Amino acid sequence: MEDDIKNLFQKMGKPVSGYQEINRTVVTEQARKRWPLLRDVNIHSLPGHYEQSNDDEVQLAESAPAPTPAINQVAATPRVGLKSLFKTESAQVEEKPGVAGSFFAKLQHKPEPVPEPTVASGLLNRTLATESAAVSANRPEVKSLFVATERAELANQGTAPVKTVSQTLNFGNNTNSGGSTQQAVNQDIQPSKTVPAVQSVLNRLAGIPEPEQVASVSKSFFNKIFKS
Amino acid sequence: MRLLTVISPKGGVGKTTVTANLATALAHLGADVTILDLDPQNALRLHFGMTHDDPEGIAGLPQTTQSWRKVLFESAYKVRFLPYGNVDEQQRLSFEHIIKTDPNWLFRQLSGLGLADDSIVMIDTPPGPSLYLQRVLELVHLALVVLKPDAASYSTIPAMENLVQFYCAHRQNFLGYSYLLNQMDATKQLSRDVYSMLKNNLEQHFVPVTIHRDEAVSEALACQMPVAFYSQHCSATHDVRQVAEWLDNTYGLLG
Repeated sequence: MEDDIKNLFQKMGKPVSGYQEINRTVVTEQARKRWPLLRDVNIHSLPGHYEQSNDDEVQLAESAPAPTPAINQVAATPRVGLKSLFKTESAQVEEKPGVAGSFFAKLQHKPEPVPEPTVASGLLNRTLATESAAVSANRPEVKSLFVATERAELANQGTAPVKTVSQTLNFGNNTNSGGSTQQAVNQDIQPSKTVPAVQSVLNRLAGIPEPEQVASVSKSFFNKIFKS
Repeated sequence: MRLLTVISPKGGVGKTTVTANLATALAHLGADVTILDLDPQNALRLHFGMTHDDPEGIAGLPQTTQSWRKVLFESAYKVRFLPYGNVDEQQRLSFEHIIKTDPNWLFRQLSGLGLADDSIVMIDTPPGPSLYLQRVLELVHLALVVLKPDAASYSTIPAMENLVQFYCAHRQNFLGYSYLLNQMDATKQLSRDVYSMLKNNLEQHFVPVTIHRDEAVSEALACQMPVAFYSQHCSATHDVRQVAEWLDNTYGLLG
C-alpha cells in the first residue's frame, strides 16, 4: 500500500484496513472467466507464521496496478519479530518437539565435531579457498575451482556474447595458477536506485499495452473504498 | 545456520537456476552462502563452473556417512556448493536408503560442515514430493516455492500447500514460505492473469517481485556462471537481486 493512500485514509479519519484494491479483484474475476483451469483450482493458503503489522502501518510496498505485473517493487517494511527469531533461537536451550525443533538447541550445545576424515592418498588435493584471518580452525575444508580463466577463454572464443566490456576486461585479468578462489568480476554491481522509472521505460519499449481501465460501477469512488 | 529450501511442484520451472542465482545475489548482499544440491539431476554445480564430467558429490562419497566437507566446493562467485554427484542407480539407491532410514541424516551432515550460525544454507530439491523434500521440509526455516506463470504450475499449488502444512506448519522455528514466479512474460495475458490470481489468493505468501523471462539466464548457464556475472545489467539480474532484498526485508535472512 502506498504512503499517499495511507495518508489519505488517515486524513479522512478512516482505518487503513478499509482499503481495497478493487482493480485487483476485478482482474482476478476476469482471469477466472478467461481460463477455466484457473477458475477450478481452489487455493487456501496457510496463515502467515510471522506477526502481522498493525492496520495503520504500511504492510507492503505494493507494486503498480495488477495488469502490469512487470513493474517490481521490493517490500519495504520488515515483519515485526522475524529478525529476532534467528537470534532468540540460538539462545534457547530447551528442547522443542520434532526433529527441526531440536535443531537450534543441539547447535547451542555444540554437538561433538565430526572427526576429520583421513584423506586417501589417491584423492586429488585441492587448495583451500583464501579466507580472512578471523576464520576459525573449525572452518570446513573447501575446495577451489579454476573457473575464471577457463570462462575467460570460452568467452573470448565467442561461445557466448559478452554483455559488457568491463566483464571482458575482468575475465582477461583473472588468471591464477595457485588454485585460490577467484572472482570472475571484481567490480561492485551497484543496485539500481531507479527501478520503477527504468521498468516503465522498458515496458514501453517492449510495447506492453497500457493497463485496461476498468470502469467502476460505483458512482462515488470514496463510497466504494470506505465500504458504506 | 539459516536453512532456506527452494522447491517446486513440477519440473521445468527453473528452480535450480533460481537457486543458483539467488544464492549469488544473497552473497552479493554480504551473506555467507552455501548451496546443497539434493536433486539427482546434479545440475546446480554447472552454474558455478564445475566440469560436467566431474563425478564428485555427496551421493558419491565412498561411505555415505563421510563428512560432506570432502565435497564442499568454493566457487569463484562467493558461493560454496555441495554437488549431488554423478552416481549410478545403485549408488543413488544406497544414498536414498540412508536418507530414508536416518531421520537426522540431514541435520547431522549440515552440522558437520562447521558453518557459522549466520550462514545461509540453500537447499535445492527435486521437483514434486520426494524423500529429499520430506527430509528438507522437516528441517528448514524458510521455503521458497518456484512457479511458472502458467495454468500447470497454478494447478499444483493446493498440493504444495498440503506438503508445507504437513511437514512445516507445526514447527515453531519454521518462519514461513513464499511463492515466486519465474520466467514471467508480462506481454502474455495468461502470465498476467496468473500473477494477479496468485497475488490475490496467496497474499502475504506471494513474492511481489517476479523474475522475468530473460535469455541471459540461459546464456549464463551455457557459460557456466550466475547471470549476475554474465550480464550484470540484464532484467533477470535485477529481478533476482530484488528477490534477495525482499527475502531479507521479510524474513531477516541477513540480520
